[in-house]
Parts: sequence; structure tokens; C-alpha cells
Amino acid sequence: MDLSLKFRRIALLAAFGIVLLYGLLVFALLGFVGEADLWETLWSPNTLSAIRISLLAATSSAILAMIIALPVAWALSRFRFPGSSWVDMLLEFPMIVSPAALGAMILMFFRSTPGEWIHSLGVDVVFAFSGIVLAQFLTTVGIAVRLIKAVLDEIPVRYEKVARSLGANSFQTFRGVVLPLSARGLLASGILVWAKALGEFGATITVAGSLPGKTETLPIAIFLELGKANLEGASVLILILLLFGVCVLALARLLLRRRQLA
Amino acid sequence: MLEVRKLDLTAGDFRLKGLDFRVERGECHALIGPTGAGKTLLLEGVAGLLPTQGGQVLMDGEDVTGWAPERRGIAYVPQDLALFPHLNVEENLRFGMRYSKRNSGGEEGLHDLIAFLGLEPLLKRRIEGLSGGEQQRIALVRALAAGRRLLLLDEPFSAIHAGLRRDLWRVLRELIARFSPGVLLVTHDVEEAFLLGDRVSVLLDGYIRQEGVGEEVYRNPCDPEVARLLGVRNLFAAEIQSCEEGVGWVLCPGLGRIHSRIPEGLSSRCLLGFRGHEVLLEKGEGLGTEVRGKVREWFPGGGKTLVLVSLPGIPDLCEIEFRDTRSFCPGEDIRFWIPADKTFVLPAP
Repeated sequence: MDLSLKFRRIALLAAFGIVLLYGLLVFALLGFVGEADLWETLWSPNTLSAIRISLLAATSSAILAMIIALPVAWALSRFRFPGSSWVDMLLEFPMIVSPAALGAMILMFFRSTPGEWIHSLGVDVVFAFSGIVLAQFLTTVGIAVRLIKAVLDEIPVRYEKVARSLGANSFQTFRGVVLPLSARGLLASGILVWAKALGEFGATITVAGSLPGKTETLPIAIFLELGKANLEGASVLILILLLFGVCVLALARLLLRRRQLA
Repeated sequence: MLEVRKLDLTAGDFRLKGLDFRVERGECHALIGPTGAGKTLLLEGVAGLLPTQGGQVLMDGEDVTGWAPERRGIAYVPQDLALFPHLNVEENLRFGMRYSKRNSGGEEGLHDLIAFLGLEPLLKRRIEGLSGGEQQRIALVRALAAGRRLLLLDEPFSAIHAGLRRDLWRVLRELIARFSPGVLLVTHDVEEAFLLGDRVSVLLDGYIRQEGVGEEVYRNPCDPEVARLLGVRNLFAAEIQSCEEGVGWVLCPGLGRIHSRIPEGLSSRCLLGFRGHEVLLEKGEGLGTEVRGKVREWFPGGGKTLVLVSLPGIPDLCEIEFRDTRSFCPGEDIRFWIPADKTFVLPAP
């Protein structure tokens, strides 16, 4: 048999294998969801509050991450400056450090002198909603920079050069040319960052704990249900999280596809 | 209008050194250079899109060297035009007007430009559906509507097919005549440079090797490299025999004694050059030299014939071109006439 054909078959087999594996996981999950459990868990105050906290925190941290990441990504995409490769490398920090370790580092920071000074200004992150936002922000901002930089790298610099020569200053060029040209890509990036924040667990529980109705997010609620050996309850929560995730990923793919076609 | 003095620019290891040239209002200055000569680097430096390492850029006598690009009144039109794909034609045309209210000619100026180039039917169209020629017109109008006094055109016609390119040359000429912007046009197309350029500069190895009125540069390239870049294929070793008031006799093995213009300050060893399409098959009027040789190869086609001629006593071939389709036999004797006013003498390398 032709070697390339053989290789193609192996590759396709591997792809189907992975899909099958995930399918089996979802199938196993559905086996634990009973109709009575579904409605009872779904409408319980604890679940509703976990959904509310998760959506609020993920939205806040994703918006914050995107706002901070945008200028950083633009600078990294457009300029070579002393230390730019170091900045680029440091942005991978949250990806190589375990989320629990990152959460522990946040806690340690707030025990240090600068952290205590921030605390004295009234900023309280430990066992607080702001702690969830901070933990999610720190785990996603690096990814946000990476995603946005990839979007900006695709926009030819000559558009900006022409806009500048036609009379627009740097900010006007960014607003009038770079942002509109990258809008779809930025939105898709924002959705992916939001999805990542929504599923964040390790850093969140380390910093904000698991106070029901205050800092209990959906992933934490799943963890707590599993701790109580309530597999039926956990499966409903996983299903909700899965549903959110699938919806946003589908939306992001749709936006990115339209962008490629545009 | 634009005056560039001793400008130094760097991109990596590549350097442009001590560039000096001017572009006057209503004038097209063509800058010709091979690929990789630094033409785009020069334009971006003049536009303020790259930092300069030395020298000055002056606009209407004012030193704008340290100014941001948006303040210089210089529009940069890159090779692919960079029309904004998220805006329609009208929005593209109005882009610069939004930010350069003081300098632009306002609504009246824009309408004048649109009417002049017949762009009305295109105003609501999206950019991606437009032809190359339409995009060229829009890029030029967009730059002028923004009130830019100087246009920097970076090989704007290189991706356009030959027929349309000539139409666009005419459009550019008419725009310059009607609206009087200064234009700095960089190109590697010799014909384009001399047809459009009131003045022509030759950029080679990081320097402007020669600068002058188009016809002067065309007739008197300053050295063999410039001559080759300007399309001269016939350069032969020669010796100056006599020279008086810029003209004299040159002895060239294989060609004979040739009357030519001779620049000052040359030693007797020199190179004689002429263009293949300027020789005649019959003896012409005025001074000139009849040359005899043998046809080595010929390439008829496209309404002309390119002939490679071996000359007696020298290994170099002479390349001549006739403006009709002809047929020859290999080794056939051939005679042609080199008019004296079509020859030039260069320093030997």
C-alpha cells in the first residue's frame, strides 16, 4: 500500500479514536443523569447561584483579560523592543505552572508587604468574588495575549502605514483600521478566553475557596458533589458546564470561519 | 516641495547612505532601482514610517524629519495599494478627510476628484470586487482627497497588465497636471520611469548613483552599472582618440571609429555604449558609423526582431533590435548604422 495513504489512514483512525473517547465519556456521563435529578439539581438554589457566579466571574475576568491583553498583543505583534522575547516567554507562565500552584502564589502575594498594602486599600481577594476574577484573569491573560497576537499578526502592517500617512494618528489608526479588521478574531478570542475562565478550577478554589452562594463556581460545585459521592448531582452540573462550553466553542468556530471567508 | 538631504536609513544590515534629491510641486520624480535596492525603505523613511539615522527631510522648506507621519502631508501608496477592505469605496476615499480636515479640499475637492476620474458608479462598491485599474484610481484619489501634497508611489503599476498600465500612466499624468501634487514614484520599469518621470534618480548599492532630468539620464548614464540597469545591452571597450567640447572620436575594436558625446574627465580607456533599438539598417542623416558583422542568432516575434551580431575581432556579441519582423540566415553578413547622437561614452571599470 502507498505509504502516504497508510499514514493518512492511521491519522484518520487516531482522530476518530479521540472523538470516540470523548463520546464515550459523554455517554457515560449521560448514564448518570436521571430526569428527576436533572430538574431537581438544575433548579436548586445552589446550582443557580453557582451558574450565576461562574457566568459573572468568567465574563468579568475575560473582559479584563482582553482589555489588558489587547495593547500587549499589539506591541508584541508590531514592535521588536529590548526584552520582547522575554515578555513573550513570560506570558506562557500560567500555562506551565499548575493552576493550584498559581492560586497558592496569589495567596502568598497577599501575605507579602505589597499584597498587604493592597489589602489595606480595601481590596480583598481571599474567599471573595474578586479572588475568583483575579485567579481566572491570571490564568487566562497569557492565553488572551497569544490569541490576540495571532489575530493581529494576520493584519498586514501596511494598512496602518497607509492610515498614518493619510493623517490618522496611532490611536485613530488602531481604532479605525486595526480594530475593525480584527473584530471577528478578537470576538472569537474573547469567547475562547471566556470558556477557559468558565472552566477554571485549581487557582479559583485555592484563592477564593468554596463558599456556597459566594465563591462556589460550577467546577467547584462539581468537585464538592463528587466529594459527597453524589454522582447524579455532579453529572447534571457537568452537563451544564459542557453545554456552555460547546455553545461558545461553536460560536467561536463560526466567527473564525466567517473571518477566513471574509 | 520635498527636499531630502543626506538621508541615512537602515534596515537590518542594509543601509541607504547620504541620499539627496528633490521633488517639486506638480512634478513626478521617478526613482529607478533593481529589486532589493531599498526603494521601499526610502519611501517609508521619507513618509516618517521608519526612523532615519541621519540627514533631513524638508517639506516646503520646513524640517519634518522628526515629525509623525500624519503631520507630514505625505501620502504613502504601497505596491498593493492597501485599500481598507472593511470600508467601501466612498469610505476609503473619505478616510483621510476624517483626520486631515485642515489640509483636505473638503467635499468640493473630493467631488472634483471623483468626477475627474469617473468614480461615481463605484462609490458604494466593496473593495474586493474591484478591478486592478479601479483600485489604482481609488488609491490615488484617496491620497489626494486627504489633502496630501506629496504622493509616494511604491511600484504602483507593477501588478497591472501592460495595456491597462499605459492607461494608468495617462491617469497619473492627468492627475498631476490638474491637481499639482508632487509625486515620488519608485519603479524597476525603465520605460515607466522615463515616460512618467520629469526627473529620474537611479538607486544602486545604497546610493543615488545618478539624478537628473529624464532625457539627460537616459542619454548619458554615468557608469556601466547604471547603463545596464537602464536597459543598455551594448557596452564595448574603447579608446578615446580625440575630444573637443564634449564630442569626439572613439576607436572601438569590432565597431570601428565612432563619433560620440564624451563627458569631461575621462581617461583614454573607456566604454562605448548604445541601445540596440536605436540603430538603423540604412545609413541615416547626420554623423554616424556603419558597422559590419555576421548574424549569430535572431528572435523574431511581437512585431520586432532581436538580432545577435558577432563583430570582427572581438568575442562580445552586439544586440540590435528592429521594429519589424525579419528573417536572417545564420552567418549572414549584416550592416547597420549607429547614429552618433545615440552613443555615449562611460568610464572603463
